Amino acid sequence: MTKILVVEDEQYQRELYALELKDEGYDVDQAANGKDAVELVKTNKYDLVILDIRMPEMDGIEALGKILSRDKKIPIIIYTAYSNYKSNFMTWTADAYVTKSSNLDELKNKIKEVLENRSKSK
Amino acid sequence: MSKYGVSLILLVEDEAIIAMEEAMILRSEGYEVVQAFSGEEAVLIAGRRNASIDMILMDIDLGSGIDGTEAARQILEFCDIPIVFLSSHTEKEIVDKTEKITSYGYIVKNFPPIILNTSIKMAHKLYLEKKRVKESNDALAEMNENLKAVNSELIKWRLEEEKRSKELRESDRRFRSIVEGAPVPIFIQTDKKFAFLNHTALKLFGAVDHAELIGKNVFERFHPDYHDKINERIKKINEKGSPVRDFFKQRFIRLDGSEVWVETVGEPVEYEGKKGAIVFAREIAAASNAGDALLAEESHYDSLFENNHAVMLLIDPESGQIYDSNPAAVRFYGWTREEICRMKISEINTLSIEEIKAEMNLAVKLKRNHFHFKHRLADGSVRNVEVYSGPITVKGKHLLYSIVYDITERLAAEDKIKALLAEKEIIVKEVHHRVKNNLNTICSFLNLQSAKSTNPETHEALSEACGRVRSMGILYERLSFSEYDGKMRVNEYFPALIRNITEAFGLGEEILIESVFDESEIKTKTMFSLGIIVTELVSNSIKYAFSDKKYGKITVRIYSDKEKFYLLVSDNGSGIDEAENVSGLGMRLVEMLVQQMDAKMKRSNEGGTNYEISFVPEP
Repeated sequence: MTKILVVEDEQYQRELYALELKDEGYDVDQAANGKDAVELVKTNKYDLVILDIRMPEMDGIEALGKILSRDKKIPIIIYTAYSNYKSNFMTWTADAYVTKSSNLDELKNKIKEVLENRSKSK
Repeated sequence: MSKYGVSLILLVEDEAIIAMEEAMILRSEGYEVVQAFSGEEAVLIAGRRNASIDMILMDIDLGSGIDGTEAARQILEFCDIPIVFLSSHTEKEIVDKTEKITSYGYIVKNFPPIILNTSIKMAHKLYLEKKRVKESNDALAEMNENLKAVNSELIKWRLEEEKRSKELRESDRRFRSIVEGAPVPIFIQTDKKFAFLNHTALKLFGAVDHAELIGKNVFERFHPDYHDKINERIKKINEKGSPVRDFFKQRFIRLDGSEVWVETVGEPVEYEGKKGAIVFAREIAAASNAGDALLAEESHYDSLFENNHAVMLLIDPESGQIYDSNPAAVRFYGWTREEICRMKISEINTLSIEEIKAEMNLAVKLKRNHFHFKHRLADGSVRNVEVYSGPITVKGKHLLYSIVYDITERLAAEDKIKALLAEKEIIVKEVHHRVKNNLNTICSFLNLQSAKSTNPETHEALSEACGRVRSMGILYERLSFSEYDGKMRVNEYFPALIRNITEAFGLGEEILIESVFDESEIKTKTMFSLGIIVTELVSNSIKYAFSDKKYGKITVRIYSDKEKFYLLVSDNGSGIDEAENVSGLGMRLVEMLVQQMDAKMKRSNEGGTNYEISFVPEP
């Protein structure tokens, strides 16, 4: 089963995503900040990571770097409210960049797209 | 958008403002840029995007994290992207550090766009070249094997050739001993001088030793009454190459002054590389006894025909019927003497009548004294033969004698050698091409280095070095286009060299270089030396001769007479101060080369500076 890690500091939002993604048929793990996410990536094998940018303890960019240095190939989607905040590093390392909205359809579509691209390139 | 095959560049630079500026220059030059602000970021981005990144420009000093060389090392572990290092440092250790990694060059910061472009272009070329070299190394190894085969084939051929020439000498010796011992006076004249006399001929002339006659004019021994007629006969032999077989009665003058009546016939012959005639004589008085003459003729026939190791046939020219064959022919063809004598020559010669006619016409046209035929042997095989043919009278019958040489193996060996030589030539050209490319690369490196240098002396020294390297590069370029025989025509190389010098100095109308080169050929090794000498002397003139003049003219001439080659370089400038310049590296180089070539150099200050270098070329 496809395993996804959702990294989001707002608990309510995080659980909402997890529920919705479980309904789509994915196996979902959750992390509340960058630091926990990095720990989880060390011990688990994920098919995809969904990463928020603004978080306490360790922010998304730092976490992104740490996750990638553990696993160069891991697919990552940046999911953030800051539509203008696109760092060069994120653009060139993340597989996709999605702006938060009340509707999760765009995120779900991107997840499918990224996973499909990955299985194609394999 | 792609430039020089590079479209996306990963720029690794920790100082944000510098990074911005560098990215801006790169973008304005038409590249797409990804930026990384630390070594770690660079490794991660390269890890994610290595398929689309064409090149990495890597700062060496990257602040707190891993440095550029370490980042490069990590990146090269998992992918193969050309990396060019950027730094404001020029310390040797740092440069050395980058050299340990697969490096594609090194740029000092604050680069002007042209340096950047050249470096990127070169790094990319180098990268492609490295890839290609890897592939072509295998091909080269194979070529080497072929070359070895060529060499061993050549050696084999040489050994065979030596063996053949030994055999030839042997048969020559045998021929001499036969003729020498023949009871008929026989002598050979070339250029109307005695070149050879057999024993009987010496006796006829009343000489004891060869030295008394060899090299002497034959006409001294012919009675003056016959000189006109003899001249006619010699003319016929020399010019038409046809024998004079009608017996010519005349008197020889012996060394003691007495006269002796003889009858002579002559055949054209090539002796010691010269054309001449072999003359058979017989004393008329002594030959009055017919029985003796017949006996003499038979023993003559036996010694020339029966005992000869060359394959010989006697043929009736009318019917083509073979009249006789010698033991050597029996061995060669594999039929018995009786079998051969029942055959016609057309049963042995496999060419059609038309082909035979064509070959005979060709032989006349090429002034060959032999024909190329294909002869059939008893075992059914067909051999390529050279046939030497001429008329002969045996026991009153007019026949045609044919001496047959088997040249099948020689032809096969010649073909093989031709093919191998052609292959060798291709390999040599390829090597020249590569050398040329390498020299050009070196030259670009020197140019880069020169452009980056702030010290005018260093700058100039590097430009000069570059000029020298380029002059050799041009030579190799010409070599890779020309037929390889170790020599080259002067006007194939020097015009390009002069053009190159003109461009290198950016000469406008103020200095005119006039050059005249003839078509003479020089060994490529000498050509190298001359190329550098011309480069140095012309550069010197450009730099020093016209400092107080507005317009100048430099003349370069290379020409040759029968013995020597001459190189003239002169200018109409202010002339050289003896003390100055001569100590420079350029002039030292010239003097060394002049010495090496065993040439003579003259310098004069008349109306400017004039150099004349003359030398005897190696053969």
